Amino acid sequence: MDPEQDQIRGQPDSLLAAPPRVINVGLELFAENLASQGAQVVHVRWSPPAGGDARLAGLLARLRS
Amino acid sequence: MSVIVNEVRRSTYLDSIVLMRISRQLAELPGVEEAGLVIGTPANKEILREAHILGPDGAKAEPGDLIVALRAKDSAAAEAALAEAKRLLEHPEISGAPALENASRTMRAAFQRMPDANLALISVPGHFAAAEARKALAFGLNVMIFSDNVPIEEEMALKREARERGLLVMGPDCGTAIIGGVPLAFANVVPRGDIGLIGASGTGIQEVSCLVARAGGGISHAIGTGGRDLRAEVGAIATLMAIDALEADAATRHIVLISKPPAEAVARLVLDRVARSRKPFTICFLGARDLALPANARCAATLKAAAELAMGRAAENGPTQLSLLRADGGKLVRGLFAGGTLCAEAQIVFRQAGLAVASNVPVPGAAAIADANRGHLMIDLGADEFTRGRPHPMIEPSVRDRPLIDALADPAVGVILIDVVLGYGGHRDPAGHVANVINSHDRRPLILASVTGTDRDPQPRDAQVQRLTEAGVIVAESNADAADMAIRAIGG
Amino acid sequence: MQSIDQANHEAQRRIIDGEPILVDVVPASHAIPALGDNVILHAGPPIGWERMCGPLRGAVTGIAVFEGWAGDLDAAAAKAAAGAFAFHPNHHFGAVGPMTGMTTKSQPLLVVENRTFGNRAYCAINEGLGKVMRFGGNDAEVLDRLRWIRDVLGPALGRALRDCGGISLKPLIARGLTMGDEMHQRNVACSSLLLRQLAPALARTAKSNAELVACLDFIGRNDQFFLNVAMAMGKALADPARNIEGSSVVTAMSRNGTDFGIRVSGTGDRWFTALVEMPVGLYFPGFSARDANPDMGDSAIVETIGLGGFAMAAAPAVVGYVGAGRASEAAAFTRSMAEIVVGPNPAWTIPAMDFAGVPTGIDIRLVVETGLVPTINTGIAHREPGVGQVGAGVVKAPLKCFEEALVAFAETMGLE
Repeated sequence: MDPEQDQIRGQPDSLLAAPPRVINVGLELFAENLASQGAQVVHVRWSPPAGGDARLAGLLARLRS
Repeated sequence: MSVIVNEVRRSTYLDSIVLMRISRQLAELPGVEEAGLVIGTPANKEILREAHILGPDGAKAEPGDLIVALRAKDSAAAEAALAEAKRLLEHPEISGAPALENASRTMRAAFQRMPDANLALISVPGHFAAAEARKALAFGLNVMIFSDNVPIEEEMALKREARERGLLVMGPDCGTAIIGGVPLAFANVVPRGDIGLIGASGTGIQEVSCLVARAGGGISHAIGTGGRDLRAEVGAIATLMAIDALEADAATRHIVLISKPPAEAVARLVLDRVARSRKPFTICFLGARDLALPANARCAATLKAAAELAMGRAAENGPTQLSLLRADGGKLVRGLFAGGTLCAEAQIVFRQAGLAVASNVPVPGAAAIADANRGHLMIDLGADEFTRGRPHPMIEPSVRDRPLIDALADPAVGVILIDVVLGYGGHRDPAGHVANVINSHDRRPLILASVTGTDRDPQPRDAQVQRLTEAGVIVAESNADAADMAIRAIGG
Repeated sequence: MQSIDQANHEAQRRIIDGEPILVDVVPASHAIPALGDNVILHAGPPIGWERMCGPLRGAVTGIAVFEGWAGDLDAAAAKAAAGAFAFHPNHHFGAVGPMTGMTTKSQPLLVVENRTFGNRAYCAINEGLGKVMRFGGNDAEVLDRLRWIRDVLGPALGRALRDCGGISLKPLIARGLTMGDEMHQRNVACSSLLLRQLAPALARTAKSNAELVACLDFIGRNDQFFLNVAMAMGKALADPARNIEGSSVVTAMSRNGTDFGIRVSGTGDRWFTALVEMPVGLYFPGFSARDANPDMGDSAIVETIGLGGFAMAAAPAVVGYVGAGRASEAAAFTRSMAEIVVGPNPAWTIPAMDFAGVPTGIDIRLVVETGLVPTINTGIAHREPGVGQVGAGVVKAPLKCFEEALVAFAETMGLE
């Protein structure tokens, strides 16, 4: 979380004003489809935090800020 | 003697659709009998075990690992298949599209690359979805959560937090949205227009948007709220925010609400908000006919009626086409649906006609399957009991093959009802797949289908309809019409 | 108390705000008073003789002979085994050293001063390519060269640097990045720029023409001369970022041929170690992976400040050379490292990435979350002492270091 970036930018009104600019997290298929339509998309090749290690993931969640 | 080989790749994760594609490619290699690539969760290991491809190595895999499992006719074929698996796993660009060449590994890095992003589309396993959604909200993004199996407490917390920030959370379990003309997840390509949709159901949005499109209208935006938004605990947060947004949207003239009938208190909450709006509404609480509605709202009991009312036409009872079709032999209707809401709509049409019907997801007035005698059956093949560890029928139509073949061979079945759903996210040729199954089996039942889609979809509708027609399927104008035609065909 | 993100921004800012100047060359005992007889500083986290790898033992015995603490290599080895030498990491005394990283009292050390914060860091002078002590070389030729460096080159460089008022390194690095250097495996541009700046001062302060020729020739023939300057600079820039409460930024990464160690700002001077990994790369003719020594050196300080493997996109030629892939894939390495850092360094930009700044400030939280570990460009030593470099490649920092650091960091934050 960037301390400089805390203004609210994505109100639903502004969501509807123009084609969405999407960050896709998960299924590649959705990013492929958006890209093929010429939509603005960045894909995140997600994997479970800490490789699935629950203890480390728990620590990470609490160290988030 | 077949050999089973497993290879475990530690701390490796790939999304389920990518794994399915690779599994399918491996299964087609010479000498390979069965192949599966899954993340090493207990549920997935069970699936491998049932498919007789789980070996001792795979059994020891952990949830953070990837299991490559296969059964081949001999070791040579198995080794060759493993080598091919390695090649496919190590060269993701083989399946990659331009958007993916520069994929990020974290939302944080993605946001740095696209600082003006305004929507996060989240389709990670349900256990992790809320945390990702929370990150997105912290970045100031609206969120669409495609993932299901998210605890309702998380949904409540997320939607409240989002509301504080003036952000919209669509979902969880939100399969469909169309924002600014862009289809998101499972959605169709429809013309822009002045009808806004707000739906707790993905296929409900798909059907209404396509019917509007084929009637010459267009969609401003279709906002998905997720299947539980109208539960008392969630309190319609997304629905109410969506109404606000479409109210403020200059392009939207008419708003359609689509969902199952909500509890009284939530319905009141929503309808009070509708009453305060300047814009006209069509309220489709599926199956509900007699709602106390404000002056600016009309009631549609079916998706078809909702599209008609939104277009300013009177809702018709009965199918648009005249149908002289009659079923030979069997007297029972067997509906096999990929879309849960389409399954519900078919049940509603039957109930409105006074016919008894049973389903694995019964609407009020319909029976659960366990209770029913042999009567009319409507099966939602996308329900949890069918999709645990298996792909959804909209992605993988072969899930419907076995029930379809059984119905074709069942002398008591006079009419088969199916939905064919097109659009992004769906199979590239669902009609072709169904036609192949039908063509390879003798059949006596009448087969009725609806095709939810448009000609601008990746699977253009006309060609899909033609494929079905050539296979002897009668294609109705809408899912509601198909159900109506089924009733008439059995003399009801 | 500030948040972790704020603490990390502070750490990264300190790295970026540093103003490193190469000011002098001095005998090690002047820079580091603790360097008396029988004190040997080495690369990497703390280690004892028993666990030292072949090249490191070779270097230890060689430097002991060089300093006159043993008559020959065997005597030196016996002394070491008997515990007569005090071994310490370079990092514990404000120094760094490449590969075996030997630092002892009479060697001349490059001095880099961070004008912004007033701190200094030290590194020995690069011996050149081939059979050298940093790869465990310890024969007469190696020791003779060290004597020449001690008696001629070191003092000459010191005079020249004092004469010209020091060399400002930040702009020199910025230029090098536009010329194909990444400052770990590839330093030819920076080495050339440095020599160009130093040559007049060397000429002015040379004791004789013959000495001048020898110095210019020695430096000019060594494409990697600048590596040691970059390393001292790296430590001078990273040290002010140490000990910031609540910061999860890495302040040092280092290897001794057996263990890989990291230090994290918020956990102070604790080392988090794991066994080093084997480099993956390309080998000189006649050598293969069988001959390779495990990863070694304090040079990972270069990656710690955003250069080396992190700046791979600036040096596409390196990618093929180190066997890491195609030149077109160089940017992917840098993009990958950008996922695990606080942010880019606006002073050091890479033209091929639309002038994106090098990724700076490794955050252990991001490393553990993504499993993306720092990628380090490195030379590969022969596992037998005295043979020298046999290849070059990339090596990954072990994830275990970061996982253990995360647990310890969480404890300092009052969790667990």
